[in-house]
Amino acid sequence: MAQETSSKTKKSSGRTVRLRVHRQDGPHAPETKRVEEFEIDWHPQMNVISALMEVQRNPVTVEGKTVAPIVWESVCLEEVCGSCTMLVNGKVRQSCTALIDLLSPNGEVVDLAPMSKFPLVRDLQVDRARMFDDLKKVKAWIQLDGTHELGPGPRQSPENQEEAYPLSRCMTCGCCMEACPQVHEGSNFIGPAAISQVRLFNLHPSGKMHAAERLETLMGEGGVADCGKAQNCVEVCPKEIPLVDSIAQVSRQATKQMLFGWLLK
Amino acid sequence: MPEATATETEAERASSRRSFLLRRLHSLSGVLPVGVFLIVHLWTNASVLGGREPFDHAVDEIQKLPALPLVEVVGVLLPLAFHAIFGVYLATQGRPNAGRYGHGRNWAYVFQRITGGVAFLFVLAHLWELRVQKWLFGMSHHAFYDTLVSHLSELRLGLPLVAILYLVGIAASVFHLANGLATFTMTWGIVTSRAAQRRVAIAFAIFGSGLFLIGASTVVSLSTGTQLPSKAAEPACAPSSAP
Amino acid sequence: MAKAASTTTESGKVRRVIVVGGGLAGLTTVIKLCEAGVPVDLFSLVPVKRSHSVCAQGGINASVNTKGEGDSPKVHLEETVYGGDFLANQPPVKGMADAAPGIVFMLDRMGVPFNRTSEGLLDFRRFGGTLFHRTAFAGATTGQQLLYALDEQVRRYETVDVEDDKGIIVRGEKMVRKFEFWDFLSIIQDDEGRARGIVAQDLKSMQIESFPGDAVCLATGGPGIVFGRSTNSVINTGTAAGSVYRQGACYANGEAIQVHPTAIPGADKLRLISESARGEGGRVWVPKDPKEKRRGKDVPEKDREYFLEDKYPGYGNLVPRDIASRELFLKCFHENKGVFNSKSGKNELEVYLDLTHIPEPTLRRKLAGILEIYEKFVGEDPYHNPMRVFPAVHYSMGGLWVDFEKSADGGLVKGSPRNQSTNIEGLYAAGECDYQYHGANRLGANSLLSCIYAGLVTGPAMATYRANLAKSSWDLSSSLFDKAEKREQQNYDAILKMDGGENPYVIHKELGDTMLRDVTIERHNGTLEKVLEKIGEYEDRYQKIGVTDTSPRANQGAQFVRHLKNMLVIARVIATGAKNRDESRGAHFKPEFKTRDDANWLRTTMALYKEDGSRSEVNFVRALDYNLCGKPLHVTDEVDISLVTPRARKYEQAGAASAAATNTKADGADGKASGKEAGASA
Repeated sequence: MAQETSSKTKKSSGRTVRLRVHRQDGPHAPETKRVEEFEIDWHPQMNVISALMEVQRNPVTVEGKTVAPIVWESVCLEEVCGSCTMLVNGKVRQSCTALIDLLSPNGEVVDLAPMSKFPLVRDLQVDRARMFDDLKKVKAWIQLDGTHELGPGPRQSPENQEEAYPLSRCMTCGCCMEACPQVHEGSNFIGPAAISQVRLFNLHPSGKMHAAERLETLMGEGGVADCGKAQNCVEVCPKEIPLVDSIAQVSRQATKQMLFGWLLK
Repeated sequence: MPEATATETEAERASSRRSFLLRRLHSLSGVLPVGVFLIVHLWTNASVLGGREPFDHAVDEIQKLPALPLVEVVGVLLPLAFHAIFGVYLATQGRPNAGRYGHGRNWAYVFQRITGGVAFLFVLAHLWELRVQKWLFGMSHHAFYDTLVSHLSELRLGLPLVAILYLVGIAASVFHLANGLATFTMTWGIVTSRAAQRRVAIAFAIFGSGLFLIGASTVVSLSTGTQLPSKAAEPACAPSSAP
Repeated sequence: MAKAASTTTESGKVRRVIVVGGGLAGLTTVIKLCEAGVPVDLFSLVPVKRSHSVCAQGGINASVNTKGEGDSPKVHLEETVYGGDFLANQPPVKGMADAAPGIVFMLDRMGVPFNRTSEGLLDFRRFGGTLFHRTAFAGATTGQQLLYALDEQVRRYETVDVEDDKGIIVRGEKMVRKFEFWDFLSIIQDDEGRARGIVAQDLKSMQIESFPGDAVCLATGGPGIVFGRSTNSVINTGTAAGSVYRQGACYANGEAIQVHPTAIPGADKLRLISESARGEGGRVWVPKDPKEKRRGKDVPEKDREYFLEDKYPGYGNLVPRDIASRELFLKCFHENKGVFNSKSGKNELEVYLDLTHIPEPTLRRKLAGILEIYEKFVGEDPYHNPMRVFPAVHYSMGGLWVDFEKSADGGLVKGSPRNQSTNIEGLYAAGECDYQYHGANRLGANSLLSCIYAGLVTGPAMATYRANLAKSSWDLSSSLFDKAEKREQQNYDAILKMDGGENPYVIHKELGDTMLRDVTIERHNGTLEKVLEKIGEYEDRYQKIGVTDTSPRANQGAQFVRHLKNMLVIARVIATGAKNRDESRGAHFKPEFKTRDDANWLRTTMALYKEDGSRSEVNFVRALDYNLCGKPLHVTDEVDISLVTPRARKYEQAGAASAAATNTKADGADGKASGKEAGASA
């Protein structure tokens, strides 16, 4: 198969791409905080990841210094795994869909930095473990009796599926958390992603049976009431998940739970 | 196998619920009674557009209310104080980033906090100017009109500074209320879809603009002595006399 | 199942087993183990929710027969082995086809948002190699949805306490412990060769640690990254399989590499456009005139060549992937057709995949996930423009050799410790990293099924094995584990000390380019000879790598060097297997040997590792002897064809793939289905 286009076109185009990368060796090594610039050859359909891969093959800065290859996280490169979230030109997004031609049509420098709301691992990699822990807190699962054969699941209307499916596409990428002004190291706000999962599971015919337990978590410290309605979450969500609708839906459920579960029970 | 349910005690649960209840109470207090009071207050004071008499009449009507100090303290002042003080605490709980993510609602988030602060200071000054004077120094409520006219028409550095501050204060309070009403519908889950939220926000923006016009004309009237020419020419939204 | 095993050792330690890999196969295995009361340590290179399974798009096969076409597990079995050109052992395939409807129902109960019919039932669509609507789907991100559902169940087990044999909770111990961002290095073997645990490395702190486990399962996916760019995720280096292969595990049918016909060419990845696009009616065509310069949507019908429909009237655009890929290759390489690109001024190696005749709302409901990918990466609207696609390496049918125990009805014996067992006692394999279910070519939407089915089989097999284990790994002396840990630490330190002039990423790129060019759709012995020579050169150059990153934290460079070693080893297995197999079967196609040769090659390629200095070698064997639960076992490379007799593959005729199963029916569901097909392609 003749897919070796990149190596052939390499020298011919003459166009280059500049990356400015905010690096740091580890969370406890602030003294290693630095900004390095790299210049690489342009390829058609280049994205931030393929640009970083190019740097891996020749990790030399514009000053001619050989440095350690840049550390970042990526898996699927087609925006379904949620790994490669970072700040591209200051805004949070998936870097695999960050096409160089759109970011830097006239050779502008592309600025890459790690997300700021999660503990740094190294360079562009951060630790998003808290998001997975949050899913435990809200019991984001169906309480299955077992995997043995128990026949088909409950019937559901296509409309129900069409409401659930977009919510179920949340890939825990952290964009919503990064952009949320209410999420930061000093707050314990659970964030939009987990709230939206509660809506998803409270929507399912079997999941509904444990709706109250999930709401109970979201009506505690750092729960849904901490939302500040800035609605950045829905603006930055790469999967266009209706997070704001989810928060309002869960708020409605919480209102009911407060009135009829706590106060008037 | 047992599901490891978090075996929290009743006390723990109550304490974790406190945060939720306080926030919901904060949201509620902003609308009822504080928001409602603001609307009534601006509406009543707009009677000044008809001249001194309707205004004094309106003030008299209020003074006739039974147990007024109790109503004022329990019905308005305490909720307002709670809303303001807890609000300041809540505002410190955010890290605004509208410079980076400049969407409309994110700016509204920032302005909600700024206007909350401005409104808080304005209310404190306003209370000092009239209420505290009445309670502590025995200012008669019939002196309100003169005090306001004298303050608002006063020129400092060649500018009606107090009037301008009043306009800013009213603008901040009204924005805070109108935007707060929009977020109230989200907080309580009254309006759930984003499309509907947009419609609601527009409706409250129109409402807020109207309310600001009422308040602003009151200030201008007190500041310049301008009055509505005649009852027939009054705009529909401005009242001619006390309710 | 066999006797119940004790949950704890005499000294009170919880006896855990180990699963490496958190994709569909790994997670299913974990769930099954937990249900059997076996606590698990789950290791994964990435948070399990980001495993490569998320990339699967189109759906999962199950012959539920919702559309009343006469589909049945029997037809599913036949079409799968027919599609795989009869290289798959049939009992496991039968087990899989029989279990499929139950698997889809189980997933449905777990909350997977499968698309629905108006009656509220699961909707099914068509996929390649069949005439039946057999594929359940959740939009066009089915793999993601399935993975999430299993991930949620495993997360739940992370909160469930371990109970000892008396039902008393063991404090602080949960059924599942997850080790995410951990890289599998090797298994730990006792003196008898049994797998007793693993050594792994924390990819944040770079700490190397040994972990005891009563049994180990690898569910680490395929080796797509050996080909440089493919439809695979960047983590699919095949390193874990390569590592245990070097420790003595047998690798089977390595040469069986599937090339998917429709992907978007790209510099970092070849992004898949799912077969479901054709399942929903997408048509593949190329301009008749190689000099055609008009845009795709402006080319009139009469000037288009629907080459799949023309050549295969029976299955049309839904012929199996190996056939579609070869036809595409033929058009572009041998007939010089393609899609004109005004920027480059020449024909690109692409053909059109056209959905523009299908109403946009239908496409949005059923295919939005993939069309969104096309829109984002190509910047063109696929709802109104035919998409430009080209084949890409997609899946490895080959993988670690695993055993099975056949039942009386021709399927698998439930709970047998032989099922999914490698030739290393105590080491199991499941998912794309095993070789079991697809023969020489995998049918679309069978991969999700095989991963989950393999997991459903592996869990109970491991539980039985653990119950029969005379001495728990948790009772062995720590010296065994310390030794292994030390060995791996030395290996890693050696990598950090490499100070030559070669860049590992450059070697990988060259390896990928070589493999992609010469070991994919068309394979020539002369070229393969050169490929093997080149792999040898890469192995030599590997020794001269310079590691520029010696950081003790999140050292991805050093980790990549380790993976590269195993990629080179796997590349040799693939290329040598391809060179040896002098026939054409499924995805393995040699123009010099155009036909299938059952007399000589209806057998499994079984490879064992050999080393010659710095270069690896492949030792092909015809039989294996291994021990399991105290019993010596002898297995050969003979393929079990006890259920469907091999016959020639002919996708030109409608119903050819299911002839045996459907002919047994009086009314002939075959005729009904083919009638539908005729209507669709007319």
